Amino acid sequence: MIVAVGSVLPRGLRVHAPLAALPSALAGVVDGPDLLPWLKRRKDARLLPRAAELALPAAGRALAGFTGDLEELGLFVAVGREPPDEGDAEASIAAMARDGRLDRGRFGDEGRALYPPLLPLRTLPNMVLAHVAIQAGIRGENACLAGGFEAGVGVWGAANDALAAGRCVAALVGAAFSAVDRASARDRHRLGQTEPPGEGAIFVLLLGPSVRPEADLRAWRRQVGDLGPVDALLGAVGLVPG
Amino acid sequence: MALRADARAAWVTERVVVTGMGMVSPLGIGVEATWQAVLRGDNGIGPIRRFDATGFPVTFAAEAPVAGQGAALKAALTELALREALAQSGVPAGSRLGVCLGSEACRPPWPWLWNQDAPTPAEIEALAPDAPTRLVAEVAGARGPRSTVSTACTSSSQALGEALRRVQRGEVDAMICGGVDALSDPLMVVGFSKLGALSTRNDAPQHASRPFDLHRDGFVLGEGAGMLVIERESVARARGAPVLAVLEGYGCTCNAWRITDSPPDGRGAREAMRAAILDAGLDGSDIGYVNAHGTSTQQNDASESAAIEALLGPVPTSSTKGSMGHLVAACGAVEAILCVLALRDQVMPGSRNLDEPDPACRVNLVRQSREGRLNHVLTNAFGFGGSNGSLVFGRA
Repeated sequence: MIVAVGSVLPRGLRVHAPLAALPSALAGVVDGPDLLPWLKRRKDARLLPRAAELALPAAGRALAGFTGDLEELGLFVAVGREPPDEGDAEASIAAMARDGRLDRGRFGDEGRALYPPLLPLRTLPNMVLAHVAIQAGIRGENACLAGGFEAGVGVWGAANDALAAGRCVAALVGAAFSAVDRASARDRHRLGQTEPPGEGAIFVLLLGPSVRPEADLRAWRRQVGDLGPVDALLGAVGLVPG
Repeated sequence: MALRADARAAWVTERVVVTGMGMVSPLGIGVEATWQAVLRGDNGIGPIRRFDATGFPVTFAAEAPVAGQGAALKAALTELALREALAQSGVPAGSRLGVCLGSEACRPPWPWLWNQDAPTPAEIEALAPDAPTRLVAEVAGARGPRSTVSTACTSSSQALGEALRRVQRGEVDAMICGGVDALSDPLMVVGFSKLGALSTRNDAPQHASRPFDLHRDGFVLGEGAGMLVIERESVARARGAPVLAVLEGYGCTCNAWRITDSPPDGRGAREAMRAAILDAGLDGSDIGYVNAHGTSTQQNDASESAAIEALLGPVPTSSTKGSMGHLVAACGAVEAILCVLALRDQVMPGSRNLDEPDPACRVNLVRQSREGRLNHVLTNAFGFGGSNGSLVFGRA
C-alpha cells in the first residue's frame, strides 16, 4: 500500500543562469529547497550533491507520519547516474594546463594541491541513499540502483520483495536526479540532447502487501504511525529491457 | 533488528545454485589463477603502471594484468570474467536470463573536461554505471531483467543479493551477477588519499594491505571483475550444469551513521550478517568461515571485528585483501567466488601481511591458508555511505 508521498519538483521551465552559454538556457529547476528542517547538523549540507539536496525534503515529507522501528524500514533509491563534479575540481584542472593543453604530470603537484578533499564523497554513486539514511536514521534493507529507466522500476520490485517477504515493515522508495549543472549540460550537448534538462526527487512510503483487512490495517497503523489514508495499491512490478 | 525467523519468503521453494564463475584480479586472469595465488599468500600489489604517478601521495595500486584505461579497461575486465563464467556454466541465452552487476561510473578523461578532445556519444555512454551491465546482457544474450547496483564497496555483494531475489521470485531461471571496478586512476588516487583512506607505504607496497594487523594504515586501490551465474537448482540440474555451491542467504542494512565511518560497535554490519544467516535458514553456529570485508583501514577492521565477535564468536575469519587490495565495486563478487572455492576445496584462505594481529580486533583470524570442515560460509562487503551486504554460501 502506498500511504504517503513526498516530492520536490520544478514548477516549470525557466532560464537558468549557469546554463546561459547553451543555445537554450531553459531548464526545470527547483528553487531552494530549504534543507535545515531535514538535517541533523547544519554542516552536513556541505557534503550533499544536488540530487541529495532534493531527496532529503522529498523523503522527509513521505516519512513525516512514520513512527515505526527505523531498523525495519527499508530504503530503495534509484539514481540516474553518479553525481557530477559541479566545477569543484576546475581550479585543480586549470593548474594542470600548460600552453592551453593539459599536462597530466602536473596533477602530481599543482593540481593535487588544489583538488578538493571532499569531492570523492560528493560524487560517490550512493550518496542519495547514504544521506537519506543518515539524516532520517533508516537502518533496514536497502538498494541503490543506477542507470536508465530500469533503475526507477527496479527499486519498486526490490521494495515489494522485501515487504512481501517480511524483511521490512515499511519501505521508502524513490528516485532523485538533477541535470541542471554545467557538467551535465556538457554531456547532454555532446550527446545531442536538446530538450530542456530538469531535476527533482520523489519518494513514496509503502506498507506490506499482506495487509488487506481494515483490522490489520489498524494494527499496522499502531505499529508504524498514523499515516493517513491509503493512496494506492502497488499491484505488480515488471520489467523487460528493450 | 527484529527480523523474524520466518523472514524467508513463502515463494522460496527451491535452492539457488552457482553454476559458473569468472574472475580477473590483480593476482591473475581466471578463477583458478587467483585462487591458487590467494592460497599461497601471493602479492598482487605494486607500483602504478596505468599512469605516471610521480609526485603522487600514493604510488602503488593493485592493478589487474590487463591493458587499457578507464571505460575500455572496465569493459575488458568485464568481458574476460564473463566469458569464463559462461563457459563453465553453459547457461542458455534468452528472456529467462537476467543481469545484475555492481558498478560505478568512470570518471571523464581530463581532456574532455578541458574541452581538449570531443568524445563521441558512445564514449560518453561507456562511462555510465550501467555500461558493464549492458555489455554483459549483449554478450550473453540475456534478454531478461537487468539492473545495476551502485553502493560503492558494497555494490557487487548487493548485486548478488538482488539477483538471488529475482531468481527466488521466479522472474527468471538464471542471473548473471557480479561486479567490476578499475580505480588505479589519478583522480581516485588523489581523492581517496586526501580522505586519508589509502595506505601510504610507498617504499613497500607488497606490505601495504594488511587487514586486521596492528600496523595497518589504509586500503590499496585495486582493479578487477568477478562474475557468477546463479540458477534455480532444478533448471541447472535438468540441463546438467555444474553445481558449484548454493547461494543460501543475503542480508543488507544501512548504518545511518556517517558517510565514511562505521559505528564502532559494528551494529549495521552485525545486522546484515544476522539477516543473511536468517535468510539462509541457518544459525550463527552453522557458519564455518567468514571472508571479512577487512579493508586494512583502522575504522573498518575494528568495527567489523566487533560485529563478527558479537554475532559469531570465534568463527575463523580472514581477509583476502592483503593479497589483492580493495576492488571496491567488484570486491563483493570476487570474494564471493573465493568463498565458493573455499567450500569446494574445504580450505580457508589466509590473511597476507597479518604479522601482528591488532589486539583490538578480537576475532579468530586465519593467518595461513588451512583446511577446515566448511558447510556454510559468509562473506561481507561494507561501503562508504554506510551500506552493508552479507552473503551466505553452502556446499553443493
